[in-house]
Amino acid sequence: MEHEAQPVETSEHPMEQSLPEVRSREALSAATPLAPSSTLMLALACLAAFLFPGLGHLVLKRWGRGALLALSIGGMFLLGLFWLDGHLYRPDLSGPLSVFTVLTHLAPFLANVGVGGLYGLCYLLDVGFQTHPAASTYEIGNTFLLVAGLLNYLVILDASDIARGRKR
Amino acid sequence: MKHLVAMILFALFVAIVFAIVSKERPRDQFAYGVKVFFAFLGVGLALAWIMYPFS
Repeated sequence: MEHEAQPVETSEHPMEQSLPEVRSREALSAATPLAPSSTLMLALACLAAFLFPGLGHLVLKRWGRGALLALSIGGMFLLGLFWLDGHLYRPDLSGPLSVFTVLTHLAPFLANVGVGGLYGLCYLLDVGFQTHPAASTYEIGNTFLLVAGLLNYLVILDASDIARGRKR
Repeated sequence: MKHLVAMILFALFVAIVFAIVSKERPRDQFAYGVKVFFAFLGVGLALAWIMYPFS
């Protein structure tokens, strides 16, 4: 299967058009066009990235990036849970659906679930859902857990871009 | 002390992820990561001092 050279994507944002790094990226892309991976590899990379932080990049053979992402997001998740006494949110929608319910239950749950497999493992083992409001770092731990999940959504998108050939 | 260490670790982890997803070349990633790390620390410390009189 031949991969056609992908058109160089340039940003239309006026501020980015003048950045030397944009011009150098364009020159690099024009010299060596990126070959997108197959649809199966794209799906595998995104699924792997969702199952464990950094695994999608490892599937795409970006070893350094994958290792760093695994350490960063995985480390943030573990520290938030076990060192800073944060807790994970369950999708508790037992009461009437309101803005308050969405903000205090659904949104944090969606943020937590961004780490994918790690959240699933904790859900199966029933670990990390107990609250520790008396702990001095309770809110910091919650923040670590929420941000870890949100960052992993970015990582999934990054793995997708690499698989599509938009990035190296 | 635990709070300060937590803030430093948070800045470090977020800077690493931002650098990897935003830049492509390792040198650019490192430079951007350092910039983001110190930006997080600086803003965090600045906000802490701003909130201090009200604590």
